[in-house]
Amino acid sequence: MTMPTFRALIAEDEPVLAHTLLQTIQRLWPELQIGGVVENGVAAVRESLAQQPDILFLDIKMPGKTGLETAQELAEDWPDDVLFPLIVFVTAYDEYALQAFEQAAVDYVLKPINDTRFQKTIERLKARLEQHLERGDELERIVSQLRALVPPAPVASERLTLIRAAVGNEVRMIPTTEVIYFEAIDKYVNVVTADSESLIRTSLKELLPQLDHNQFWQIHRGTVVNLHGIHAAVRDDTGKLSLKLRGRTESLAVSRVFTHLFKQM
Amino acid sequence: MQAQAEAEKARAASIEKQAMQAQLQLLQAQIEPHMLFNTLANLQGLISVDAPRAQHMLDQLILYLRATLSSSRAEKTTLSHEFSLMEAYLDLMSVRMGKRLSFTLQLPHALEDVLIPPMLLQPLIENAIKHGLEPKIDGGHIDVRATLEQGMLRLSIADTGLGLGVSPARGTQVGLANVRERLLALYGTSASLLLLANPSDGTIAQLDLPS
Repeated sequence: MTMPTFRALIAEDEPVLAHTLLQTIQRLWPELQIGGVVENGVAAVRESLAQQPDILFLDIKMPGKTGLETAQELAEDWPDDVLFPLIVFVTAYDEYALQAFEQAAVDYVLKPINDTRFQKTIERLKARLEQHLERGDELERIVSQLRALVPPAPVASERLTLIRAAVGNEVRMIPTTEVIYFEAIDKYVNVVTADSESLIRTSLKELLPQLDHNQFWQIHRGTVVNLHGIHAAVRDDTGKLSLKLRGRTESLAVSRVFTHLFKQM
Repeated sequence: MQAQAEAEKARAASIEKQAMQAQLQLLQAQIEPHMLFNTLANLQGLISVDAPRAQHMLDQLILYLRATLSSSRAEKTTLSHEFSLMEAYLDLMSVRMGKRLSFTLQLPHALEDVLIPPMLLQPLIENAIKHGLEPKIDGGHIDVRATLEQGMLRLSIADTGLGLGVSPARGTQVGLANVRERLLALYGTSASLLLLANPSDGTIAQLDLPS
C-alpha cells in the first residue's frame, strides 16, 4: 500500500532558519510536499486556511501573531469538513514548558535542529497520518492543548467599572455592568449596551485584564460577553454554539476554543 | 573633612554597586537563551550554505559575548568600542531578521576616542530591536549616531519600529530604569535620556552626556 502524498506548510520569520528547516525536512522526509514558507503569524493563518496542509510547522515567536495565537485562530476558523493539520511547534528555547507538548497531540522541535530528534518527530507524524481516519479528533485535542498552553490573561490591579467612550464631541460614561458585550474591531473595541454602541481606542487584549473575570467571559478571540447579558446558549444542527442576548437582537458566535464554558450544569 | 571623605567614599561605592547591578541585569537581559539559541541555529544553517558569512557571524557573536560577559569591564570605554559592539549585535540581528532589518551607524572621526561608561547604549539598541522592529511584520531601519550638540555629547538611536506604547512585548522597563539610575549616579542631573516618537514612525532614544 502506498502512502498518499501529504502536504506541509512552514511558518518561520528568520530566513536562514526557515531554509534550514526546509532542507532538513527535504533530506529526512523527501516525500513530504512543502506548500511554502510564510514569515509571520498573519500570513500563517491566511495560507493555512487556503492550503489546508496536513502538517503545520509553526515558529512560536513570530511578528504579527505568535505561533500559539496562530494555532488558536486556526482552531476557531477551521472548516468543519476538513481535517485539522497536525501542528509541530518550533522554538529556540523552552519558554512554554514544552514537556507538556511531548506527551500530547502536538509535537515540538527545538532550534538548532537535531537530526536524531527531528527523525523522531517525523516518525510520530507519519504514525499519526497513517491513522488518517482517526484524526477526526485532532481539532479537539489541539483546542484542549491550547487551553492549557495559552497563559491566562493577567489580572490588572485596577478593576474597570466605568468605560469612557468618545462619541462625537461628548464622552459617554458607561458602567461596565450595563455592557452586554465587547467586540474587537481592528485596534478598537466596540462597547455594546442594550441601546448603544460606542468605539473605544483600546485593544481587547488591553481591556481584558481590567475586567472582572467572574462577570465577563471571552467567547471568541474577538468577543467578550457579560454573563448577565446572556439569555441562552443555543447549539445548532452542526454543533455550533451561539448566544442569545438580553435586550439585543443579534446573537454571538462562541468559538470552539471556548465552548467548554457553556456545558449544562 | 573626614565626613566629606566618607560621603565621597559612599558615593563611589554606590556608583560601583550600581555598575555591578547594571552588569548583572545586562547579563540576564542580554544573553537571553532565546537570543543565543536562535543565533546558534542561524549559524548551524549558514555553515553549509555560506561558510564565509557563518565565519563572520561567529566572529561577531564572539565579540558580542566577550564584551557582554567580560567580568573585568573598564569603568570607561571609547565610543568607537561601543559602536563596534553595537555593530556586532546589529550584524547578528540582521542575519536573523534578513531583509526585515537594515541599519546605519554614524560615528564622526573626531568622537571616536571620547570616553563613556560601558553598556549605556546596548540596552537602548536592544529595546529598539525587541520592542520596535522584531514584532513589526515589515521590520524597518535603525540609525545610531553620535553628535556634539551645544557642548553635549548626543547619542541617538532612532528606529522605524512599532513605536511607543504599541509593542505587544511590553518590557519590564528594567533596562531603561537602569540606564537612568546609572546616569544619575555618574553625572547627577547634567545627563539625560529621552524617549521620543520618531516622526517617520517608531521611537528615538536620545542620550545627552556632558562631554
